[in-house]
Amino acid sequence: MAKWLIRRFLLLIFVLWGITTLTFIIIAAVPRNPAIAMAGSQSSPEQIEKFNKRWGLDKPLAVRYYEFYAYLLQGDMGTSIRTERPVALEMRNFFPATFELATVSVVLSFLIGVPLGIVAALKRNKWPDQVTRFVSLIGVSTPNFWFGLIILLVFYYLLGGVGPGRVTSAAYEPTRITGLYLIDSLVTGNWSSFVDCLRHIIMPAFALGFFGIGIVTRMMRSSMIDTLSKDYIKAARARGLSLFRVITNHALRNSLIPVLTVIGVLYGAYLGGVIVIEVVFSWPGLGNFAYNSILKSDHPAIMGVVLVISIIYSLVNLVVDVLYRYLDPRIKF
Amino acid sequence: MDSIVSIRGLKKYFPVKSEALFGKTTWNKAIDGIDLEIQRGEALGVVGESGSGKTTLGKLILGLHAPTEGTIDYRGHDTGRMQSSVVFQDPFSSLNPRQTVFDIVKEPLESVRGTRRGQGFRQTILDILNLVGLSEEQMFRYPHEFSGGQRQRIAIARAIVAKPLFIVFDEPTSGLDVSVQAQILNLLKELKGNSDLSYVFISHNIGVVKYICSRIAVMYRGKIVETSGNQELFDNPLHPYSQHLLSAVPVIDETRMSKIIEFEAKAADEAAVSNGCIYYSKCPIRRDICREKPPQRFDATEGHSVYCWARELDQR
Repeated sequence: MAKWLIRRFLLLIFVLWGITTLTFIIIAAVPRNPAIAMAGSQSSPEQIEKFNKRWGLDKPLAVRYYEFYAYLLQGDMGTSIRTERPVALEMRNFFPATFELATVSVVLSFLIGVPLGIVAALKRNKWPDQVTRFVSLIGVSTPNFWFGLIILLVFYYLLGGVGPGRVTSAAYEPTRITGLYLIDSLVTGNWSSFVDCLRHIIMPAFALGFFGIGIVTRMMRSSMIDTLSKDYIKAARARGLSLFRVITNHALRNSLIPVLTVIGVLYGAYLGGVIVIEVVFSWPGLGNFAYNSILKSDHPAIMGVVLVISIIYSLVNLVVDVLYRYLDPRIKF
Repeated sequence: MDSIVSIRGLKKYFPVKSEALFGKTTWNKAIDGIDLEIQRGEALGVVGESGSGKTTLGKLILGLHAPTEGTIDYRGHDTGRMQSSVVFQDPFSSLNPRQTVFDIVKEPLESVRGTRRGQGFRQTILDILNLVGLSEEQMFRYPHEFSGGQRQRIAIARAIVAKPLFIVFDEPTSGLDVSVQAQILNLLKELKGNSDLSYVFISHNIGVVKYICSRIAVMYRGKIVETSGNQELFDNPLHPYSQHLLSAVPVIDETRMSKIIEFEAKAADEAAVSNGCIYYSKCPIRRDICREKPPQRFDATEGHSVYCWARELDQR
């Protein structure tokens, strides 16, 4: 296990190196100068030259590539051209919001999808199954930006619920500890803040998680049907074990493995693909930051975002692999 | 002898949906009117060709299917004892892959004693594992670390540990190598001994049933056509289907080789079968009445009953 972990971490370093290199090449290949994006198309050649010199854009590509890693190894991700703040600091500011949103979405997908899948599997081809399958089909096939807009239209514009953003006003922001508002407000015992944050996160989390609910439901349903057909389930029933205990003791863990795979992929996708939803809901997270950075060709910021998302994605998948071992003793590392 | 399970007029029909959009649903009559008693302490064999409804009957007895019609009465149940358990054919699907042998065998004990604490379980489990031929160091391994025969031993340990009234064995040796089959059969016979545990032993292999069982029921297309004591059935099979089935058992004896009953399905309209005897179209000794009325139970001798008009009319 320890050996396997070390190997995985070494592999992770290679993966991160590959991803950042690719991103670096893509950024270099895009014929768009951050100087124009930042200083405007009317700026004089002297201004652009000064800008390039200031941000090190006048150096050869190879030098810039080398410097990126040289600074990175010292924990310095560079400085954002757009905000003129260190990228590492921006990551610390924006990442918790995204992490919180993606996590709540994944938890929603799991907590709603798994029971729905179980019910559908147990009531196979009866009406609860048909309804569930229809809902999950909608979840899987609805683009999340559109779903997000509909949610905003109905619950914010028409019904007058809470609006976009993480909190109603700065007064509701909890004292910053982890940057995860839900946790910070709980830890500091700030109830009004907790409730406000919860109300704000529900809509974007649901818009983001609807796809996941659909997919988890489908996976859970088919996996559960598969498990329920196994003889050890029938044997347990034949011994007089109640349906509830058969499911909790035997069926659930065995059918969770494919669901777990999906959850891992979903989590990564949420963390990375959260951009659209964050823009729709004005969520001050990594996605929003990435969106603005890309608009302004903010090279250091883009590199930072890609790096952080890659790390998180890899770590999530690592955790999923470890969980496999727990769920299925046949899987060995 | 007192009966622990009493089956009356049992029917199980499965719907067969037509491929056509508004096609009619037809019914697959897996079990079509069965009366049967399971006595305390007996080893009852159920034989028949595939598709005869043996497995469905086993599942109905275990409560894994709800009957379409008819009743199954369970008697003689006392607390602290499990009603029923089962050993299936495929030992690779019948054990939960994420439980150790210890957990697998412990669970029936827990559900009977109604406790989740492992007080005194360890010794009981160890005894049972030794009984079925497994050792202590194998106790905390997972099913995938065992061979098919060993897995079947685990399944048997799980089936007997909580002292059930009866165990249904659904082709327990069919999935195993021939050499292992013999070991498992000996084990089952040994475990049964003179205990008051009842076996319902489902198999298409007459030799296996003959070895294990004290009484045998022959099934054909969802019906029991003959029930008899073990030796009696082999000495004096009454139903033409039983005779055909027994004659098909390979025997290393040249004088008997020639006696395999060859029969061809006589050209009979299948429609006649729906009213009369299910074996009508193939029967070498059929009468006119077989076409019109289904045969009733006829007790030829004590403990030997057959569903056949010809036999009944002959003896009158």
